[in-house]
Amino acid sequence: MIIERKIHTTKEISTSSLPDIIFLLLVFFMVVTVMKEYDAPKIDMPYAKAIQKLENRRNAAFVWATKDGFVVLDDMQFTNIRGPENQADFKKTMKYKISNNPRIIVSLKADNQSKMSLINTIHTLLKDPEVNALKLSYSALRKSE
Amino acid sequence: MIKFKRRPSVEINSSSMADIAFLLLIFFLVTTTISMDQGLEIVLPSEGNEMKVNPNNITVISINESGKVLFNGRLVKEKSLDQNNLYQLKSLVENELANNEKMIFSVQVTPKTKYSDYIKVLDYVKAAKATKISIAN
Repeated sequence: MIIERKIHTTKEISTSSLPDIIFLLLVFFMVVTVMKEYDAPKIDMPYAKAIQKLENRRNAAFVWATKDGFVVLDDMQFTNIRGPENQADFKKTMKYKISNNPRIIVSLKADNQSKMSLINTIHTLLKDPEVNALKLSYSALRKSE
Repeated sequence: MIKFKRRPSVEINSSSMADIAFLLLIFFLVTTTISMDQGLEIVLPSEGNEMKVNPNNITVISINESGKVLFNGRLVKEKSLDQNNLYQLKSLVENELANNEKMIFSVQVTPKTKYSDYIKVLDYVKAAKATKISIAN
């Protein structure tokens, strides 16, 4: 006696590769996300209306300036920016950043109570012919109408 | 009659894996905060690049250490800097630009001027669509 077996064909689309695709997406986003964390000093930023978004964080160098005259450039701290040693270090670091990426915009995050003498010192350091970091953005929070 | 033995399937059902992965993806998408940096953009002049400018094309805006603003030597309303809207300065800049579109606005500060006052003035000058802004120490 011959037994005929019925061949069952599955009509469902296999979804077994779906988790792989989703995980791949997840890993992609995790890899491309840039998270820069610095020990930034506490500052009280000013508010402004005519502000523009910084194009890309990758092309930005962040400078913090506190009301006490404490300056931080990305991850370097300068306790006395008016001192020649600190100025030389600041210029050297900024020069290195500019040579690596000439499109760098300096985002200055200064405290409301900072004095303009400190800001002018930073201007002078950025304008230095050795450094030539001329694109500057005064970081501010958006003021509501 | 021949009976076929039914073999239990040994595979783990992975259909819910996609849901778990999606859930993780959505969780990270929702919880990630992308801090948008924004600010007032200016371009500093390179050193040794000074040029002579016709005095008629310069408007001087000075800010003193107590936050008082002088527009071409005239005092802009004393209270105005403390208020959120400094319309007077904005309209003064707009008027100057309407008269002379080549006008350069020179913002002058003292070493003790507060940064917040400087940003307020710069904000109104920029809000009035002035493009030529000079910063004097």
